Formats: sequence, structure tokens, C-alpha cells
Amino acid sequence: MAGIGAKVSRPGFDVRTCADHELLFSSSWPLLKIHSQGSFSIPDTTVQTTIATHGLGYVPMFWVFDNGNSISNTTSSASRMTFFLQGQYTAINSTNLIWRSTSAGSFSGYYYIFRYDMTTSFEAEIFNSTSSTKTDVGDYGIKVAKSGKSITSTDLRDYVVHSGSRSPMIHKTGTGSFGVGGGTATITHNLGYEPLYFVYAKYAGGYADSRYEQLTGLALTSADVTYASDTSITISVANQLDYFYMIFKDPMLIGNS
Amino acid sequence: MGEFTQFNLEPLSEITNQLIGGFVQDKDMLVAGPNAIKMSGTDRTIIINDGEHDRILIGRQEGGF
Repeated sequence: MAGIGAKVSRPGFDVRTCADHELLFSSSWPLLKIHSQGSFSIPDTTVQTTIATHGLGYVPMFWVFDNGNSISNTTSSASRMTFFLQGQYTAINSTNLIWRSTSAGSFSGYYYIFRYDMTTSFEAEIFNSTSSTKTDVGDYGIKVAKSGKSITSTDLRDYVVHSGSRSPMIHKTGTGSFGVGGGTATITHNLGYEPLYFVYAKYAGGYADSRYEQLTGLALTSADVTYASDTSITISVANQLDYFYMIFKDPMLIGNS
Repeated sequence: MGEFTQFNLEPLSEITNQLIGGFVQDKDMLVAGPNAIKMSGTDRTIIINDGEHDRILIGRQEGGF
């Protein structure tokens, strides 16, 4: 029934008047839920390798982080802690997260696979996008511990939801495609600020089994870029591809305060 | 007290005793279950136990979140 649900504001904010992005969660939009996560090592980057089998039966959204290695340069990686989102060497289909064969070297990193089908179109309402001011010290909230864990735990990893930690809230997802030569798509979000977002691409002729790769601002190729403004995100590519985007309620430039 | 019979976890006479005991012991703590659901009016807090652990807290966390 419309109008029935639950919402919880982040500590210190009035749940009745705060901005959407100042909520911890709302029945009006989903949180990004982690299906699995882990670390992996690719000893020979020229060999296509399965990083993880998820078995979800649909092509899920994913993140892969490089832990500082670089292809053909592994000697100094052990002391680096410069994690960054790395999309160009990995791809996902309805069964596996895959290391794509590339230039010689080795690689290690971390992955997250989310329970979100990259064919899903969704758009949440915007109830309030204007930031508010904290109104109390913030000692009221909600916390739900995982099975086998207790709410006395001080480790945020032991929780499904915790008012002390934001979980990305999904504002809008959708799909589109470009023909030969690519093009530019403008995805309107109207949030009034630059939101956290991700874009994935399935390149025409790239793979026979519907693999999506992450299309970042750094891009798979220098010709394919994405960027955000306070009203939209832009996907500008020079290749034939299908794309999926996810835009969050969470602003890029507002910290966890 | 009829509104509390919905928990249906113990015979009514025992629930009544627990509720009375809870109020007496803690002045403002309501306990059902036993200890399955704890409600504090002072803290405006509800805690739910799954039989082994307190798993869900809605309300006040002393010291803040």
C-alpha cells in the first residue's frame, strides 16, 4: 500500500524534515546490498581467469579494487596501499566475475558483487534534496546485528544496518545503448548535487556471454568517459555498446557527518 | 494489560508477573519473552533478542551512534 513504510534519519537529523540523503534508509528506495566480497590474485595476467563465481543467474553490479599493483610492474606493490576502483581489467556475466586477459604481469585486488541486476530500471522520488542542520547529539538510531552477532559489538562489519554508518541509497538505475561510433547520453537525476554514481558497459562484439565491464571516469578507452553534474550524469563514448548506470542519493562532496 | 497478550509467549498469568516484575525492578523497563523484547520508556528504546543475542536496537545508544 502506498504511503506505508519506514524511514530512519542519520543521527542528529530530524526524520520528518531532513534531506533524502540524510536518511539512513527509506522504504521508498533500496540500499545497495553486498552479495559477496573477497580478495584475489592473478599470477599471470595474460590468462583469462575466473575471480569469483556468484551464481546469481543475472548480471550483477560489481566493484573491483586494485591494491596498488600495476600490470607488468609488481615489484613495489607489496608496500602500497593505494586502493583504487579498477574496472578495465575485469568483467561480469550471470555466473562469474572474470579477469580479462591483458598485457603480461600479475595483479591482486579486492572485489564486491552486489545483489542488483544490471538490467533493472528504477527511479526513486525526490522528497527533499536540501541539506539540513543536525538538531541533536545523535544518540538515537537503529542497529540490526547479523545472525550470530550482538548489538553490543563495536565492529560495524557485524551489522546489517547501523545508524553510525551510511549505506549507499539507490536513486536511479537504467540502461541504454549506442550504435556504431558511440554517442553521448545525458541521464537526468535532478538531485541538486553531484551524486555518487557508476556506469557499466557491454561492448559490442567484445564477448559472447553478455559481460559487463565498469566504465569509469578514467574509462576503458580514453574516448569513453562519464561525469556528473548537479542535474545529470553524462556518458560519452566512441564505441558501440550497451550501458547500465546506477545513481545514488548520496552526494559526492558531503562527508559522513 | 490485554494489549500485551499478543506476544503469546507465556501463559497470561506469567506474562503479567514478568511485566509487573519488570516494572518493579527497573521502574520503566518492559520485558516480554522473557528477555525476547525489552522496552524502555526512559530511553525510548526497543531491543529484540533472537534467543542467543540482542540483535535489534531501535532507539537510544548511550554515547551516541
